[in-house]
Formats: sequence, C-alpha cells, structure tokens
Amino acid sequence: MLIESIGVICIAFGFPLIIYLISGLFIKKKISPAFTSGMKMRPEAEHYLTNLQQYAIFFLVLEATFFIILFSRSLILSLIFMAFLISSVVVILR
Amino acid sequence: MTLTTVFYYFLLFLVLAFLCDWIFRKTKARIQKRYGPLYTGKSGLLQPFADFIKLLSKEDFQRGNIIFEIMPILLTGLAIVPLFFIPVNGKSILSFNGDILFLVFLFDAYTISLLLLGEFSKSRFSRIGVTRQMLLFFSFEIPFIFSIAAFAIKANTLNLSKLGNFSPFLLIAFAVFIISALGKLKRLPFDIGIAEQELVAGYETELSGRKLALLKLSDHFEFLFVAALGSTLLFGPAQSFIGFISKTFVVVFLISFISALFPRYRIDQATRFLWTIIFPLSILGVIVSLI
Repeated sequence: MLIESIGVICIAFGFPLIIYLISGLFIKKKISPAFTSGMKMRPEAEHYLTNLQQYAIFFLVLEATFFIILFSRSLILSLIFMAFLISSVVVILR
Repeated sequence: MTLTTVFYYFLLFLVLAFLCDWIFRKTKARIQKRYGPLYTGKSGLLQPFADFIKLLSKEDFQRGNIIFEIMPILLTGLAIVPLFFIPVNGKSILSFNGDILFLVFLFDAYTISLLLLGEFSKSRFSRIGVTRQMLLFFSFEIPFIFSIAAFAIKANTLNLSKLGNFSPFLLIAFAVFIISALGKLKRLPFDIGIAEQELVAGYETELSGRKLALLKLSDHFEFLFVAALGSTLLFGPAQSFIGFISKTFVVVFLISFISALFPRYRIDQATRFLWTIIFPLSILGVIVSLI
C-alpha cells in the first residue's frame, strides 16, 4: 500500500509537472497586466465578494455533518444536524 | 500491485479521460444536429488529444504569481489521485476503510484549488466567475456528498471497493448524484462559473497555453472519475476491465445526454433549483437508506 501510494502521488503530480516544464522550453512566455485593469466593478457586484474565512467555516460544518451522519446512523440525529447545517448556511450566506 | 501496474493504470485512465471528452462532445453534437469531432483520427477520436497538444504550443501569459503558476499542476494531480481508488478488474490500486471520506476531501480540495486559481488571476472576470462558482459549489456539494453517503449507509461500509448493496430506492440518490455531478463538472446547465457569453471565460480567463491545457486535462480526469464513481455506486465494483469501461461510458453518456438538453441556468435559478428541489431529494435519499 505504501509503495503504491508513493507511486500514485509521483505519477499524479509528476506527469503534469513534466508536461508543464517540457512545454515551457518551447513556448513564448509573456508577463502581462490584467486585461481588465482599467475597469471598475459595478457597485452592486461588491456584495458578492465574500470572505474566504466564512467559506472555511462552512466547509468545517459540512464535513462535521457528513461525519456525524455516516457514523451515527441515527435518523433523528441526522435530521438535527441537517437542520443545523441549513441554519449555518443561512447565517453565513446572509 | 507493483509500480508498473500503477503506471499501466495511469495510462488506461489517461486514454479513458480523452475518450470521455470525445463521448461528451459527440453526444452533445448529435443532439444539436451537428457532427462533432470528425476528422482528427477515426470519427474524431483523437480530437481531444489534438486540442491538448495544440494548447501546449500556445503562448503562456504569466501573472508574476507563483500560486497562479503551480495551481494547474496541483489541480491535475488532485484530479488523477482519486481515480486510483476506483475498483477496476475487481480491486483498486489504493483502498482502505474510510476511503470514501478521503475522496470527499479530495473533491473539496480540487474545487477550492480551482477557485483559488481564479482568485489569483487578478482579473475582474475571474473574480466574478469565482464568486458564482463558489455559490454554485455550496449548492451542489451537499447533495453530492449526501447521495454518496446514501450508498455508503446502505452498504454499511466506507470502503469504495465493498459497495454493492443496491436497492431500487437508491435510484433517488443516484438521480441526485447525476444532477449534482453536472454542477461539479461545470457542465450545462450549471456552467455559470465559466459562462463564455457573459464572463469571457470566468475563472479560466487569464489562463492560456500550458496552464489551460493542464486545466482542461484535469477537467477530463475529473469527468472520468465522477462517471467511474457513479458506475461503482450504481452497478457495484467492476470485476473486469471491459465491465469497468462499459459501465463508466454508460454514465458518461447519461451525463452528456442530460447536459446537452438544457440551456445555462442563471446563478439565482441554479441555486434556487439545487436548494429547493435537489437538496430535499438528497435528504430523502439518505432517509431511505437509513430505513
């Protein structure tokens, strides 16, 4: 299992790295400013920009709910934590 | 299992990933009364591979940001690793109790890395694409995970290689899996994060050349993995290579067929649909598996 795991990681990350490095030898690379650097955001779009920390909290809640549902195998407990998940989503995304 | 076996499996997955894209493009084209890929190889079979090679030769725009440079490599790696957990020919390369949970983490890591890639593109279009994709991610990720949980609960195992207790009631969970897989794979009707007609290319706007090629390749691997996972959930672990390939392609065709039928949802329509219809269905799927 350990050898297979090492082999999988080496191939999974080594293959794209090799492709990236080899193709980099033959192509032109160019540092460019953002194409849209002169544009301004519409004011109404600003509130869609959200905090990554809120997303991180949401993912923790999601994974905890998933774990509890899988390991408890209890219908009532699952429903309680699903309700907790929904309410946390409402709070975070409000 | 030896390292040589790992390498052969990787080659198989690489070929199947390109074939999945070919099936998707051909199915979508036929439904739209077009031919799809036609000339590159027999019936256009080599078209996805040719597109990959073509993109590698294009000019590469750099943003002076190391994360923007390495993220496509990380994404491709994160898309390849889960494939080795899928049972092929009766057993998988990697397997342990709880690997379903590990795969759930890999799904999330892939999507978050994709969003970070768009965030570090420093472009307005990428930023809006990332925001929309994040909203969509919240909406489809929960039903996606619950649908997998329903199968795991029914089979009373967290090991993907030991699934197999199929029940007709699990079709609800499988339907939820297919629909949320469309969001996960960023296919119509849930490709609002890319949305060529609105956002140039969403979070892919600033990508070109080798980075875009690797991103597309990771997309193909992700498509293959989701289809293989769907076939393992529905039909059980594959006992032969032919069985694995045929069952996976059935799910690929199903996803392609559904994707070709619908236009793009707006972000508010997509989130409303996923939260008001698909999310309750996913809960129903879990409840049915608990009974």
